[in-house]
Amino acid sequence: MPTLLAALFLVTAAPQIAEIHAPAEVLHAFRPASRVRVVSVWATWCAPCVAEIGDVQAISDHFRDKGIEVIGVSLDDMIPGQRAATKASLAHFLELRHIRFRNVYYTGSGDALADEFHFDGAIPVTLVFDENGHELMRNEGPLDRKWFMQQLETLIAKRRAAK
Amino acid sequence: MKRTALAVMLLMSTLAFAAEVEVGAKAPAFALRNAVDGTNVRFTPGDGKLSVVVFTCNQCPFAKAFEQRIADLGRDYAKRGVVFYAIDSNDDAAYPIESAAEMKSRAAAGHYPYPYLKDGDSHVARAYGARVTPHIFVVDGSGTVRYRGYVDDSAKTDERKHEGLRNALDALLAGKPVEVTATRAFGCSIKFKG
Repeated sequence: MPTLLAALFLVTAAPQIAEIHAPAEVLHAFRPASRVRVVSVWATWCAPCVAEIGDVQAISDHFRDKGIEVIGVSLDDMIPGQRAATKASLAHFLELRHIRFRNVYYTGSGDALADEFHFDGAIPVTLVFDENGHELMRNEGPLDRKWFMQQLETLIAKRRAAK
Repeated sequence: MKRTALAVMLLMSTLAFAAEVEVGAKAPAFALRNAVDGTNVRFTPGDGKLSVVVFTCNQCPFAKAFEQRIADLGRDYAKRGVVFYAIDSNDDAAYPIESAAEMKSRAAAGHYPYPYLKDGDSHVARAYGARVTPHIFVVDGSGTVRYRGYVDDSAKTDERKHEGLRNALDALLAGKPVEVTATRAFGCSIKFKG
């Protein structure tokens, strides 16, 4: 019974995480008002991803009011298991770590996602797009938060100057 | 600035990861300690044996998801003369779960039918350009890499559409060309030493 109650708690407490299957849906998940779109491809089974998720949250917090939106693309589904349980576990993880940026639960093939975003299969990878889906920059491997934030600041300034 | 940022990132990527050994290139030789029994195991490409070099590890859930699949393939193909080498190249100073003692336990629990070798300074992973676990390289009897990439395209049996390793071995054992010679290995990044 305690296990059942715990499972029930996980399900009821879990924030809604949208499932997407096609890689092209990732960029469609952003709000139209987002001028710069940061995609963080990660998974709870990836130690460097877990290590940097607080930094990704900090980036999201810092730039939220500057037209930059961050969305996490979870690849947790790539590990065999019951999808509902894996999703609940992901939601629980996000809650425990106080992660508030939006995440989507990717159920398609990893290969298709890597083809779409041109990365080599190792995660984490962080990609930055403009509102038209053009890639502006990327970081493959662990994120250097300070460096990445500086790059985003420069991007914003550049785009403001171009207007 | 955009170009500069991209250039810096590309440079960082280049510094972080050596390129994978190309299909058609000579495979790097290695001599490593087998964590299972403490013996030294030497792989000399061109030894006349069809060989499979598997970069894997103890902790990565993605590698664990393929663990028994690889062990089963190792057992099946050993009967046909194929030699498997499993290698853990993760830095065990930073990640104690990747120590030789832990490897020995893991190999015993998983009934590995092949040696499980410790690449403590990650030099073999660098030589092969291995990036993730699991990451596979198939080497023919002449020492030439004939397949590299994933074991299968999915860790989920019911979603598996392409068996990269099995197909490559079957083709090579039949004396036929390998249809798909390179695939994209997915998994946990190797925790390189240094």
